[in-house]
Amino acid sequence: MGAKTKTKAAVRRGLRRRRALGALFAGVALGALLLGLLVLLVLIATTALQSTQLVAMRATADAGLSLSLRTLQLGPRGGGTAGFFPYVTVARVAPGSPAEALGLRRGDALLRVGEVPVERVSDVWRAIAALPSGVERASIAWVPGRRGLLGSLRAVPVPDRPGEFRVVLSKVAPGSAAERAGLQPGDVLVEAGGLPITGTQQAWQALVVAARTQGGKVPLTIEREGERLTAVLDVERRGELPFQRSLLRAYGAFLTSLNEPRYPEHAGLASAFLGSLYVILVTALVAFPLGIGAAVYLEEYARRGVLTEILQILIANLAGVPSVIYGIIGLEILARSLGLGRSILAGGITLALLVLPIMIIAAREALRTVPPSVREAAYGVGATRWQVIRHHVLPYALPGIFTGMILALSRALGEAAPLLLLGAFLYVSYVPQSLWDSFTVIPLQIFDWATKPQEGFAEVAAASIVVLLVLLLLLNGTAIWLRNRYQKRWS
Amino acid sequence: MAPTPLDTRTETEALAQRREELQGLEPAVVAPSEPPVLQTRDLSIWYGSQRALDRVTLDLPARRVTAIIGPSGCGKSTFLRALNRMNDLIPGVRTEGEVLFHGQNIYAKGVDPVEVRRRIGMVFQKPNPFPKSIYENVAFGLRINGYRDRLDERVEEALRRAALWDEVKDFLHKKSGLDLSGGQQQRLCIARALAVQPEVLLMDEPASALDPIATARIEDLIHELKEEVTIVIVTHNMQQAARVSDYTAFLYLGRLVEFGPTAQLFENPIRKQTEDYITGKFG
Amino acid sequence: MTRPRSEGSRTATSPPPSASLRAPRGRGLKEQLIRGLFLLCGLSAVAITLLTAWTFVQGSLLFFREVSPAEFLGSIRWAPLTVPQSYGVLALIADTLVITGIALLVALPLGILSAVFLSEYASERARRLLKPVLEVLAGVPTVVYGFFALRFVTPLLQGTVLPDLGFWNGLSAGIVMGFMILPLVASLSEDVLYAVPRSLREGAYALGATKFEVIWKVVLPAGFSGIGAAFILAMSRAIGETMIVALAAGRTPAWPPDPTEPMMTLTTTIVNIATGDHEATAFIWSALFAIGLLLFVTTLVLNIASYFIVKRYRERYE
Ligand SMILES: Nc1ncnc2c1ncn2[C@@H]1O[C@H](COP(=O)(O)OP(=O)(O)O)[C@@H](O)[C@H]1O
Ligand SMILES: [Mg+2]
Repeated sequence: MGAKTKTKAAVRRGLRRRRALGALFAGVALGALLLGLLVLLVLIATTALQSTQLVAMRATADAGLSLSLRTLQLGPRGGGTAGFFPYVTVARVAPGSPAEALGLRRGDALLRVGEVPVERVSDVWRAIAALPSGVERASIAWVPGRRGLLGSLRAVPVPDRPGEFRVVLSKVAPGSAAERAGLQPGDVLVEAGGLPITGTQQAWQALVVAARTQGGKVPLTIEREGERLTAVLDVERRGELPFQRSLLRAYGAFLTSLNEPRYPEHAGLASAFLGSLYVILVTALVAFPLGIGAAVYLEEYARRGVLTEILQILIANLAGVPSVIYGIIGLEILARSLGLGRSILAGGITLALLVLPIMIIAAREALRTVPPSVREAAYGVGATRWQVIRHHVLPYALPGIFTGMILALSRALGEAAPLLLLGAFLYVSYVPQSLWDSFTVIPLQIFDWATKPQEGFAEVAAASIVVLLVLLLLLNGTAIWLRNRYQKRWS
Repeated sequence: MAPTPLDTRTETEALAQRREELQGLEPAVVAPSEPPVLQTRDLSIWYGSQRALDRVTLDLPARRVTAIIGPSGCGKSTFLRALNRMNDLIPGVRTEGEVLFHGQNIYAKGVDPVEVRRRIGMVFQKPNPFPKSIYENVAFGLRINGYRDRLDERVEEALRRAALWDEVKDFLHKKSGLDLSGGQQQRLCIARALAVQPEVLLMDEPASALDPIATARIEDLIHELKEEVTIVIVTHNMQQAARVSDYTAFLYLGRLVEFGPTAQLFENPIRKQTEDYITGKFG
Repeated sequence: MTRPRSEGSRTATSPPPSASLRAPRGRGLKEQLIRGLFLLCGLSAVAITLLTAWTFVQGSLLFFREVSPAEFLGSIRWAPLTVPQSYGVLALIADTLVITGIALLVALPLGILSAVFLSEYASERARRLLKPVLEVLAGVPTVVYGFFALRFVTPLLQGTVLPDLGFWNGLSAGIVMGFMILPLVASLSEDVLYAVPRSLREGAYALGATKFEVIWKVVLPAGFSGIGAAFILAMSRAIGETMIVALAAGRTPAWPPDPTEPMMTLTTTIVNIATGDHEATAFIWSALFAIGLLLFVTTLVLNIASYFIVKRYRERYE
């Protein structure tokens, strides 16, 4: 189809089609850009949202509670309902806390917060988060622990059936629900709310699960002197706890408390925060002078030649070596051969090796912004090379160098892999005191918490991510501010 | 408008012809009567493989103003920068021949280029004050050259000699050198160069970036300074050369074509190329 | 300050020179010392490289004394802790490449298209606003991306299209890694496209090409090698990425590689060995260096290739 045979209309149609294709392409390109940005921003936003759970978590911690998830497992053997019944117990009550004042004790089981039944720990946090704003108290219902609820129990083997036990009440606690229901020592507990009783701990668990599913008054079938009786146990206790919800307070407490590997509501970032700070400090102290020095050498002294060329290629490409490689170097050379161990010093130097190429590149760029006229002027009045560098080139380039250095340090701040290899501790629950102490850093805490299966740690990891990103934004912001401020001043 | 291909060819042909004419030509030199401070002997300079200066031999008389003129790209700056070894700072520059300062070759082994630059100061085409206070601009050269005492006095003296003192004395420490006007900046650069008491001052088109009034002030200043300092000034402005200099050298295509007393060179040039240039036939 | 007097001048000049042109005593030495100090700093980069190479080569030699390179690179069985031990990295390499491939499948089209939009369609203002955003996003730590993969992307995929997806899997690690390197690809490609000279575009416009045709037939082909360099760099980044896979991909090598299953890359293997509770003298440590060397050489070769491509590209157009 030669061009000659085309009519004007055909050409116009063709052009219209070509234009449409172009518009489509522009749309697709814009879509790609937006998709990329959007996905990343959505991920970050979701994380931020998830981290707000920290507020409710911290509120339970402030009320004095440490909670943990337990399960009652009912086998098919006992008849009736089989399956898993999760419930939440109080693992610890802080002395002097509102929870203690209310009468909560270690081993009690939570039934409800407000109107929300508690099956998992996250139900507690969700209930607190769902309180209307301005309300800083919530009613809670709980079942006292085994001793407080009943007294002492004893398991007595059933004569002809190996592996089966009868659960006997050996002592009735004064003032307990058992006493109020008229139970006596020697009573055999058979069934609670329809759930068969097969063990001492299980007897209490059955009462808890029954109370949650059927209400606070649980019918308890007992055997007394061969006779079956039913007592109604009022197992539930109620009260109000203050829950102070404040984002600032929550983050404040999070940042200032030490790590608590078992209870996410008590988890703290203090060790990691300070660890990060110290490590970065060491990194800066090592990498900054070396980085500036190498950059000054390359820009001010080196003659163009093979050696310089090799040096440049090396530096440019070292910047792209996977960070985990530096971890191996740190582990083998710093920690083992040089005997620095898993210390802050070893971690800081490892990261310094990692960011050195980046720093050199940034510093070189800054040095290149120094106008040749400034150098010439200084040489022209008889300055030596060093005098020119010291009095003119460096002061002029310093803001730019600092900008580059801050950006390089922000890279170091986010690095986890090399330090993971170096064997930075994941369970540091102290504040590092010296350069020789072992340490952890924020990214490693994120790594650790992110992989914990227990509820709540993902939220704590999300909160640490928020802290890390805010720190990085602050650093980047400072760098940009520095750049703008001094760019204006010199030009 | 961009030249048509035809134009460029005729132009390169003309250039080749001129180059040829220059080849066998000895420079026409009317030797100055004053004793020389700086002398060049067969000075040749290459940028890589490109020769920018071709065997220039010239005596620069003491306490006189010598102007270097010639069309753009003829090697004026290269020549000037060779006189205090500023070319050392450019990678790939090769220098042959000698530059004698009081008879001593500044390119000889053991000579420190830093020391040379202290004794032979320089003022550049574009004013280039340091981004520091006015005071620091002048004091820097003093400090690095070991002057520790009476700094204030010396700074003042240098600024007075550069005819800048009265204009800046109220904010010596407050204003940056960059806050001054173009003409003031250039005089600050002159003061900065004078502060370390050089015997020779090299000026590379010091007024080309300035307005006529500022230019006039710089020219007056040159007149006053030549009482104490030998001045070599590069200019592509022939009126300026005629106004300020005692001697003039005409460089063309890297060669010295003619050198002599300014009045004579302008009124009675020996070489045809010189005449063509000063009458505006090319350049 | 007194200086030694001049040795006397050879010609008769007016005032005899007051001082020689030699450097004052000590100045040359001081300058040389300072220069040497800076040179040392410069050589630190060389030292790091040599140290790295030496460490890896020495460790690897120890390793290959026991394990033949043929087994190392030829066997799919990675089982250093079970008897009989086996040190084949083929499955690890395959897993690494599959995850890298997924990442590139996400990052390349999105990245290049974003770059085209930024350099060809976006206004100068939008461009100057978005470029720093890309750079900030490129600075988000990879452990954060790993968290995304493990806690958001895997559950999302499980809840929508792939109910059988494992808790640990190569797929979400790859996808998230793609978004992680996306800013890098976009930023590098944008630089490349932006540098395509105006004259080239104008030549095509003058022939009556539409904007799309100019981009498709002139700008993209002209930037091809530069985009190739971005591709190589992105690949190197993906191969060396550790935290995302350590968090989201799991610690079991998959053979044949199936991204819906847990996968173990070269980098996770390194993490595994290093964080394992082995005796300091255990043989498995030397495997760390062999794998490290493999990773180091691979990424360095890729980086240098990309470096030279970019350099050639720059020389052509700048
Ligand atoms: N740094 C340099 N590198 C390479 N060539 C140069 C350099 N500086 C000047 N040249 C060349 O040397 C010649 C003389 O330049 P220059 O001395 O600056 O001339 P002028 O000052 O008379 O205009 C010109 O052809 C110029 O292209
Ligand atoms: Mg010039």
